[in-house]
Amino acid sequence: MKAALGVMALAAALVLIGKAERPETGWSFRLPPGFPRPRVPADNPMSSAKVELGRRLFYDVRLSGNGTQSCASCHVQSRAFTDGLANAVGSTGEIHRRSSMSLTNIGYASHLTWANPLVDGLEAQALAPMFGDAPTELGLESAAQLEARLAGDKTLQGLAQEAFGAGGLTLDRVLKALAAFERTLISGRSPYDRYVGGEVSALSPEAQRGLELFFSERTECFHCHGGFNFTDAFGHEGAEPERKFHNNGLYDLGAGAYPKRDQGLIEHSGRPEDMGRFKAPTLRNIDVTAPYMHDGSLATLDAVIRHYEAGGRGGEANPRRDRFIRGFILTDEERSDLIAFLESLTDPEFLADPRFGAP
Amino acid sequence: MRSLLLSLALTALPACRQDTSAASLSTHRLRFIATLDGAAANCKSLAAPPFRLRDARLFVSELRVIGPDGETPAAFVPDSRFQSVEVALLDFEDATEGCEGDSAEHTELVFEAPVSSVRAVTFTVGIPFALNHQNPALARAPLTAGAMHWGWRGGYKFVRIEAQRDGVEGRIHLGSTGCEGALHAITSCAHPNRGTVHLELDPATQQVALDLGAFFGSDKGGDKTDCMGEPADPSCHAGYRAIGAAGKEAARQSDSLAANTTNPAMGASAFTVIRRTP
Repeated sequence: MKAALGVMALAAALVLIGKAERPETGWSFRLPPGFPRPRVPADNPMSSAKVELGRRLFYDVRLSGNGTQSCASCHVQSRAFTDGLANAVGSTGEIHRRSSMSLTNIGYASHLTWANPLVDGLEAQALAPMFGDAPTELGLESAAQLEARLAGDKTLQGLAQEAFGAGGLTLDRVLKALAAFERTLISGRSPYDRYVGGEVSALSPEAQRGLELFFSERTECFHCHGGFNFTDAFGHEGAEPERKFHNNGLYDLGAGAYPKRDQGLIEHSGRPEDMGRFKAPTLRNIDVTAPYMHDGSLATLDAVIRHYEAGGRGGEANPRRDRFIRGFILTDEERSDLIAFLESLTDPEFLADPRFGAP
Repeated sequence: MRSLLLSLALTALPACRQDTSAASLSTHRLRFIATLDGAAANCKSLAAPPFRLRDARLFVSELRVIGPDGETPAAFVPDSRFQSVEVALLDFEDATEGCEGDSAEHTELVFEAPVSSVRAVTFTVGIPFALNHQNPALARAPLTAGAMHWGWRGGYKFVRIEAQRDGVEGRIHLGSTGCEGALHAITSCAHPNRGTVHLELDPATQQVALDLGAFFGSDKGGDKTDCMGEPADPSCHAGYRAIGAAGKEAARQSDSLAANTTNPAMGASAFTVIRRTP
């Protein structure tokens, strides 16, 4: 119990390090207790009109070349903005090698996508699904194509005028509005948060035991999934983020190699030590984002925990796995306690909040 | 304005032998034609197996011409779509048959240079570092956001050649890789991957043939060719040879604003000079 209290103090300290929310003309993030303010680029300040414009664009199928998909096609609110698929499917039917990532608390991400050290902002990130072709996701051909489609929409043009002033709805403004909306996707009212806030009964005894296991040196979970957002790939206002990546031992095809179709960070850096390194995703709402891992290859939380119990594929012989992937032994009861804790990170309010839903 | 830009460029280059009588700018047109196995090729002619064209576009820049009085830089004549003073997009696909881009094509470089006639041209396949890593949402044509932007690499695809060969889709995307920094604030790239093409020709009577097959090399149709720009990837080797960038990669010249030099390259195997058809 002493350890659990220590863990609670640590967790509380982590969630309290942020600054109090500051007023921004007509805008409030409505942050959960203790949450820091997301980083907001100086050239893209928040406003209600911009967020509303971004929400409408997020759900607008005109953002795909053939008019069949929007951002929300792969980022479904009720699944914490994932799609339930192991591999995402683009607007032309092309199958993505990776699984759609959760947008929970995406405004706190230090860097975006699974294994790209260059993607430091939501504005720039949105270009990849819109125009990318390997694979085709939304499949837009050009900025002019999109701008022409939106030019006649009085509602969107009116919001653009309010948010940005004269000049119409350009691609740059589309990106900024989408990013502003995404920064509002903040989840911090789960049973775990209520427990940290002092409501001890918010967590079942099982979940409380699971919490203790999660933050223990025995499982080592918290090294990569630490901090208020349960990932080490985070930043917020006043905290310069680090862009971290880890090899969690998901594959070892000899000498720690990953399948050629997706080898993670090494695709950018070319450095052998970056083989199989991916970003640790947030664990908030993790129960509703199955299947798991960058390629959706683990179907359940039970499978994920068993993967880490085994110390990943290849075990100690795997030269590339992260030093915190060491393997451990859990009883069946402990494993279900750990799952109960992970389930307590689900925030039902976030998954149903109409502010984040389709217009 | 573009004449001013050009004369500024000219005065900045001491290597240029400038004859005052030739200082008046002439407009020249350099025509390109896509080919496969020696025959003219486009989306309509390559619409069935074994070679079904999907896409064929590439950027060129840093054009220099050799005229009667020596070598001089040339400036592209800007249009609203395919050419700025510095960069031109060659576009051989018209969205018909198996092609997936848009209907407009651009197969002729229009440029100004202070020469009355052209004996040879040298150009870069690719985009200069200073222009390659900007925010495409704010960029001007031909560097606007779209199919040629490389969202996840933070630059543009210098070359995009795609085709279905013997039923298997193949993609050749060439451009700078191993970049560091952030998407629209890249500071350097370990592999610039720009090609250099030098061709002796008279654009009035000759044109440039671009061999689409050269980008796929000698691998047989049916092999999975999926080059995402990594020079170490065997799928990319033919592509970088095709644009004259293979020799540069061996030199591993680091790319940055400070060190943006070009190295001597091996010949660009995809480019040859042929007689200009009427």
